[in-house]
Amino acid sequence: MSQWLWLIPGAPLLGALVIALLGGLLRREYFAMAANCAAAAAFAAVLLAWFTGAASQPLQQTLYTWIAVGDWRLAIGFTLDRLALVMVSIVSGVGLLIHLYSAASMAEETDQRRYYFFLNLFLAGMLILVLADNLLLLYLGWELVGLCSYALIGFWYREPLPSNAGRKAFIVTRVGDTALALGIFLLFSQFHELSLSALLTHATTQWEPGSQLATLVAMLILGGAVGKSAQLPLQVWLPDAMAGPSPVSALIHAATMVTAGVYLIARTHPLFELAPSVQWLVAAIGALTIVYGASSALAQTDFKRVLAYSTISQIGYMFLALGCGAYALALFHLTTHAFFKALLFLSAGAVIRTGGDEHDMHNLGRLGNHPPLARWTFLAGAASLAGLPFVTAGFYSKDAILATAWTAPAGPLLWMFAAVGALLTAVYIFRAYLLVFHGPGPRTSTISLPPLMAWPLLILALLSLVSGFVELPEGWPGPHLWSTWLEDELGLAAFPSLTITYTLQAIAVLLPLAGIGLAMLLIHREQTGQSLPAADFLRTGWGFDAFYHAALVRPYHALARGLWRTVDTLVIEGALTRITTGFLAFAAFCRKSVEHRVLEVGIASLVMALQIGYSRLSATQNGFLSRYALMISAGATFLLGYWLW
Amino acid sequence: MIPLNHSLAIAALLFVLGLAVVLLRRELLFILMGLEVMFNGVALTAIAAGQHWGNADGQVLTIMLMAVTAAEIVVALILIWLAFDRYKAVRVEALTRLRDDNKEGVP
Amino acid sequence: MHEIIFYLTSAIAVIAAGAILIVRHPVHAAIYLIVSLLALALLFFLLGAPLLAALQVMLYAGAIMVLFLFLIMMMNLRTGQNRPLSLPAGWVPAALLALFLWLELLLLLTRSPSEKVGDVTTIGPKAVGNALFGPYLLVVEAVAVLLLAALVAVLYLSRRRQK
Repeated sequence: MSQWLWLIPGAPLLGALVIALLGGLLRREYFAMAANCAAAAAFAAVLLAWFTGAASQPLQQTLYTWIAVGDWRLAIGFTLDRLALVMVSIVSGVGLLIHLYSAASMAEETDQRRYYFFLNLFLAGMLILVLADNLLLLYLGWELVGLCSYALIGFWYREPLPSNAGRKAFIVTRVGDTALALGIFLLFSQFHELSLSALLTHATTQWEPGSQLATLVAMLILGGAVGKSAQLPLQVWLPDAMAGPSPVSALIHAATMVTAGVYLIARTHPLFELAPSVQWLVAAIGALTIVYGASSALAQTDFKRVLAYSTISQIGYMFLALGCGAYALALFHLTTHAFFKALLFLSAGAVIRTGGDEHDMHNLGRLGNHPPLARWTFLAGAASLAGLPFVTAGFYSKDAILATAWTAPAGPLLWMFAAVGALLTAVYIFRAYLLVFHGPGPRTSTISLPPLMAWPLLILALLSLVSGFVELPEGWPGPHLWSTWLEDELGLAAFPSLTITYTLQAIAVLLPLAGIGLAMLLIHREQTGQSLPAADFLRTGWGFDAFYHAALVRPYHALARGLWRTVDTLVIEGALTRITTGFLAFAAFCRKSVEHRVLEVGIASLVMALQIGYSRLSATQNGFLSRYALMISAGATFLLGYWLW
Repeated sequence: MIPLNHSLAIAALLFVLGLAVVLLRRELLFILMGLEVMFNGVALTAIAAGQHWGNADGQVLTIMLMAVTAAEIVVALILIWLAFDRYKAVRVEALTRLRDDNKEGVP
Repeated sequence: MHEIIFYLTSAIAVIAAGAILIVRHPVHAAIYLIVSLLALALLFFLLGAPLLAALQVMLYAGAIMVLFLFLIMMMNLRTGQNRPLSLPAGWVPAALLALFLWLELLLLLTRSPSEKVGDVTTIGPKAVGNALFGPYLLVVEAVAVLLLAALVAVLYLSRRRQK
């Protein structure tokens, strides 16, 4: 299998190239088929890797030398260890399901070629990111997914809203990407090495825990992760990114790309362990983001924005787990979240599509007549997201994170945030569910979805219910497959003593149920015309956009305008006028003296000399063969004579 | 036996006679024959030298020379025929199309 | 005896070549040329190169001269068309130049050391063939291409003019 590792990112890349380069030869219905085949090939390669022992033994393939400077070499190489195996399975599996869903839901779009090109390219970029064995290749994948995300958010680029959202996403994530690039530069300048395994070994053996360099590097990597994963304070791009097509939101902005930050931190976790302060910062950012996202989602009216804020909040849980050193649990929540969030987006997309592209939840509730399949699968996803006890995957993954948060420094505080977030999660998602599916509109409907949309929904619904059983909560009898399998690479999470654990678990069981009750109360209040306190503040995401606009965008504009007024008009234009005047005077002087006196006389005499020389020389060109032959012989004779002499 | 110098002297004489024909006669056919004589002078040089050093390279060179001469002669002959056919020219004085006419001044 | 034949033959070759310089009619010049070439063939034989002697007779005296004669016949030049032999104006410098070149060549020959040599060593066709198709095979191919090119050129030049 090792020599076929390239196939995992290679198949979607090939698909993208085929669609881009040979697309002119294909009929437009074949684009979806080509893209689906590429995604299926990648998924098949991943399955093959599972069955040929990648689960027990890391695979490694070096394709070729990318850069060779002096004696320093950088290869394009892939490593498939367990962490990467989890990620590629999610990316290619969920990616394949969403590709299939796209084939049905995007069938009427005009620009299929661009859509599927970027979708496949995104898949390739994400797989490169995950499989890369050195930081530069990882950064290549990182930027590739950023580019595809930009292009797909702005897929309907003729309308101002999506194209602006695409630009915003690109610019905001650029802040994080720059931090990550600086971190990579710093690591390279320290170790002259980019290979991940070598770097981590060097760092752990050469750097003191808590040393300044380690802290700086960890901070920069955290900056990159925060940008990509839409955590505070760089979260503002994700809610706007919902302007893109629903499958794109499901694939990129819920299931895969936004988890790249989580993957990056999990991959470089030895660095974070060298910098405990930064690791605690990760946990704190996560805890704050949980509450931020969940509370903002409470007051949204746009269906997809609820899910976007929910994504921000859920990734906060993963960051919290990372900050507590429970990397395997972060990855566990990443997996379940990929399933239920993709499911929520896809079913919401189906509802929005059958509702005539209506995004407002109140209007959707009034419209009613939603496909029953979308309703039931959405309910499954909502239950999993809320973490309804015992039957959903979300319960198992979120509960473990809540329990492990207690052990971190200032653990009870972090736990408080996470628990409030869990309560709010149940409130907002069931508020959304009740608003859309239990609105005043007609409830029964016979609309059925096309099979290509139905099957991915069903599979994802099943996965978001049962995938939690691989890892039962701490202290329970039953399998702990996930954490024991990942123990070698990511270590074990710490849990508080059993009594505390059981208490925390009991609270975690009660929270979602309380949340559902609260959601019903909330709906009742909303239907009687009362709204939440500070609803506007929450709806705008705590006013982050307005704050950034006032603090960054407007001063930047003012600075640009000021520079234009002062520097441009006064300094540069003034200097240019001076220079131009001086040059004109110089040119006039040159014309009078040099040109008239020197140049004209010189050129006239040169021409005369050339004319004389020409007429002398052209006399030899008389056209007589004998004369030419004579000259050649004379030359040869002279040369021979000179030689003899 | 015959010293190498004598053979080479005869070859030189043939070469110079051919050159004299090229330089002094104005008929195209004669010029071509002069060229043939020059070629044969060279061939004699090559063979005499090859025999002197006792290896076959001189003869190989002469065979190549013959082939080149054959190629040259057919092209030259057809050109002479074309000159005669189109311009009624048998003497080189009639073929002065390369003359640079400087009466008209600088081009 | 060998030397006498050699010098006699070379005298014939030189005199025949010199005759080309002064005859008027092209046919006469062609016959002198044949005489010169045949004499040269004999010289080759005497120098110990029988294959080249045979080739000289076949190729030059046989093939090439026939071409000359054909052309002379086709052009149908009569003596009357040729002006009586009058050396062109400015012949003195040209003749002097040729003479000077010969003297230079002779000087060159006398300067080089004249070794005593033994008997004539005959190098037969077999040795020549081995050299030709051994180390010089590539040159043979090149010559073949050259002949083909000449053939194409002649065919192109002799095509019927389209009016």
